Amino acid sequence: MKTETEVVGEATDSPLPSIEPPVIEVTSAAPVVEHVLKMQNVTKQFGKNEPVVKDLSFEVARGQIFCLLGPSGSGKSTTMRILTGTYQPTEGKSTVFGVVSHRMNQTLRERLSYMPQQFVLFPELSVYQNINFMASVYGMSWFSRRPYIREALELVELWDARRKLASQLSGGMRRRLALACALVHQPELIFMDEPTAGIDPVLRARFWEHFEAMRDKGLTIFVTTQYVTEADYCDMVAILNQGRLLALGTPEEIRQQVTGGEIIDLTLNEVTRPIVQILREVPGVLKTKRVSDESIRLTVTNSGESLPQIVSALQQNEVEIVSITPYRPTFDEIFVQLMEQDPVEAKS
Amino acid sequence: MWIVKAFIRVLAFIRKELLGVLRQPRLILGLLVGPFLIMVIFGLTYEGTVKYNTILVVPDRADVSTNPADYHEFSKQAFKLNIISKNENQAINSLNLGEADVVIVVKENSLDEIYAGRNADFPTYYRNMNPVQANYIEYSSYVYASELNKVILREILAANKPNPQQSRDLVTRMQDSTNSLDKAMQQGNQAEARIHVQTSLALNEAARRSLDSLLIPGNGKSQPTQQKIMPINPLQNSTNQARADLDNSEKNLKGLEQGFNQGDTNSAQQRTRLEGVKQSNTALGQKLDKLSNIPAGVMVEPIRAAATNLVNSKIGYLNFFGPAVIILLIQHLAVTLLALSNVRDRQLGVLEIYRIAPVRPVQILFGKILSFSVLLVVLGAILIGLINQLLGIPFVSLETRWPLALLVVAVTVYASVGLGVLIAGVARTESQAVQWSMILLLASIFFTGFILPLSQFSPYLQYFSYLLPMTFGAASLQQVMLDNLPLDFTLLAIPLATGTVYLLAGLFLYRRQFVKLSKT
Repeated sequence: MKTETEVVGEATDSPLPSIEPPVIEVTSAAPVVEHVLKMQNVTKQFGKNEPVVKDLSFEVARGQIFCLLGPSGSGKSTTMRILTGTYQPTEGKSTVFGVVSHRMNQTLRERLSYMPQQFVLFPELSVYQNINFMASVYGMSWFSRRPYIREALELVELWDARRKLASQLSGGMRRRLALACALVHQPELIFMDEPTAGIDPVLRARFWEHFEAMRDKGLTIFVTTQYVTEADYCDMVAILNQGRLLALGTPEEIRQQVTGGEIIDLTLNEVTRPIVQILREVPGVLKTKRVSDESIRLTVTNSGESLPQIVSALQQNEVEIVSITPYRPTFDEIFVQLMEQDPVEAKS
Repeated sequence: MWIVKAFIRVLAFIRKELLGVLRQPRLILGLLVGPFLIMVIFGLTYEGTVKYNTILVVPDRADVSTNPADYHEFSKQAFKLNIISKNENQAINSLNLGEADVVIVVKENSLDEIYAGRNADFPTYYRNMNPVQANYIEYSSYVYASELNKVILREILAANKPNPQQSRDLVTRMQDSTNSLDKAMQQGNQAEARIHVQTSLALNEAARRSLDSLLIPGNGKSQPTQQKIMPINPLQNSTNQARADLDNSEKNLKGLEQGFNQGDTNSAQQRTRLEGVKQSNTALGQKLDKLSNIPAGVMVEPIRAAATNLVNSKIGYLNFFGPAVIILLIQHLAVTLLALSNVRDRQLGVLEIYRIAPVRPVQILFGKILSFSVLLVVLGAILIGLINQLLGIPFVSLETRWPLALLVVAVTVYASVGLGVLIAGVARTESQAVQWSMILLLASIFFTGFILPLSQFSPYLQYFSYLLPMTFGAASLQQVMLDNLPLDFTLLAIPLATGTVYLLAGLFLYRRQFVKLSKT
């Protein structure tokens, strides 16, 4: 995949270079991509209130982990409910497997699954009875469901706890049970509403291992999250704020959209104005930012091409280089940057 | 294929709901033991008859006893005479302090009032806010006064009515007079015969007056009310027959007198008349004997109610309330379980999972209804068995009528579950669902004939009672268990119909919750 962004580079005081609101163009590198989910200019408004989601458009390809990222109240759950057919869009069109979401029939619904944010299974039933119930709801016969139940429980490491009542499970185990319940009928597409919310980082990492394993088996995963760092686990990320799409692409593409290119941290004996000027004149250097008296951060179009020229330019001017390190901003930083640059956010 | 999947989905809900209940041993214990224990306690402690602690205030005279033992025979009905007092104010003060329930005052001048041609009042005081108890006390005081009146009348009649010996003496004198008449006629002594005819006529008149004074039904000239319900058969009425005997005797005696006037003392015609007098006397003697043998108690209370209950089991409070309590419990549980289950689904957010899953609202409801129905019918059967075997509440023709009892329970469960679905459609929270089911419980206690007979309410309320499954369920189960008349199937048809309406309305509301989500 390739993302093209236009960035005007200038040194700023912010930790990351400033950019214009992103102009996003996503094109798939794959020759034929089957889109499992598609949203076209979807707006959802409740009564006469402000629209909760506005003019959303994106596609999710089969076998992808698609992450909808955004702060609380950004419209993630509403978007998911539109996709699952629970809500009908006020404007636009949402399709699942090519069928309008709120018109999905039972056969189509058997191909998807949903894992809500809260644990909503039945505390008075055991782990096994809960998953057995969900398998039956999806129409799996008594004989056929048994191996799948075992497989799902083993995947989430709950097979040994299958006789425990759901009410006796810890928060993490409940989440894993909910995940197993969502997986038991072997769906092709699974919607997960903030599946890792409120669980510890170790378990969160294991959840993402599960999701990646599921993705590797061909399952399409549509997940919402508030944890910005989780975006790095995903194949595609859409960032929402106040119901609007701020960014869409692979995590790396979004990074580049936000930073405007690749970043290099340069440490010298002293960073002076003439040195900054020398660096700005190197081809491929888009932005410079003086971080301290000894270090400067450069945004370049391509570090592989620009780095030799930077070294050469500095050596020609007899500037001693202490160290050169590539800098990869965290998604937290990317997210904060995006939020800060959102004109609507700035206004509010 | 879709039928198999639909079946699997319905089974999923049946299994889930049943497991949910069976996983809660305390709930099962509560369902089974709770109502049974309540009935055991009721059966062991309820005495049925009410006895009010009563103070009898008697006239303040030296010859009047204040020992309660002396008034043993007056301690009847609902009044238990604990204290005999001569101070009315003190007795009423005790009533106000809650030391007594009732005070009955016998006035000093009661007899004077009667002699003065007025009714003597026995004031009865009580302090009770319960209208049922108040009515009962007033009714009991009325019965008490009636009983006292009977005692007085009995004693008066016993003292004044002609006794059998007097009747026999009168008839003997009439027969003696007739025999003397016969003798005088045979001797041709017309003058003496005339005297005996006059004597016999006088005795006849005495007998007639004695008959007229008898206070027994059928002896009055104008008794239209009595005539309506107890028409007098002239051939069987003793007083009328006795009068007929007297008429015959008088007619023959006057015939004899006319014969004497025409100089005929002992002709065949005169002998025939004399024979008629003798026969009348004999017949009269028999009738007077019979009438004078009527006891004073019968005269005072000529008609006594002889009620016979044709129900084929022993009537008792526990027997009556036992089946009704089971139905009340089943209705309450069905409504509460179903309503709470649906509302909880919504509050937990499971509804959203169901909305996305390939399951239809009707499959969810059908599964829930079936599971709770099975559970409650089994519960009903166990409770019926328990109250029958352990509490001794009868089940006539158990061997043949148990399927009917199960049918009644099943129909009640069906209608109640329908009501539960409807409530679940209306209630937004668990508290609202509980509130609705409690209101329904209260309505079922008051407006279904459970405690107060429906006939005591206006027709509008009776129509309302038809909406409650308990109205028909309780009546039907009582009919099945306590009597062996054929079950009135209209008692089942109405809850079946109302239950179907509730279910359809509830299903409509449930489906709307699903659809509403997408249209919000």
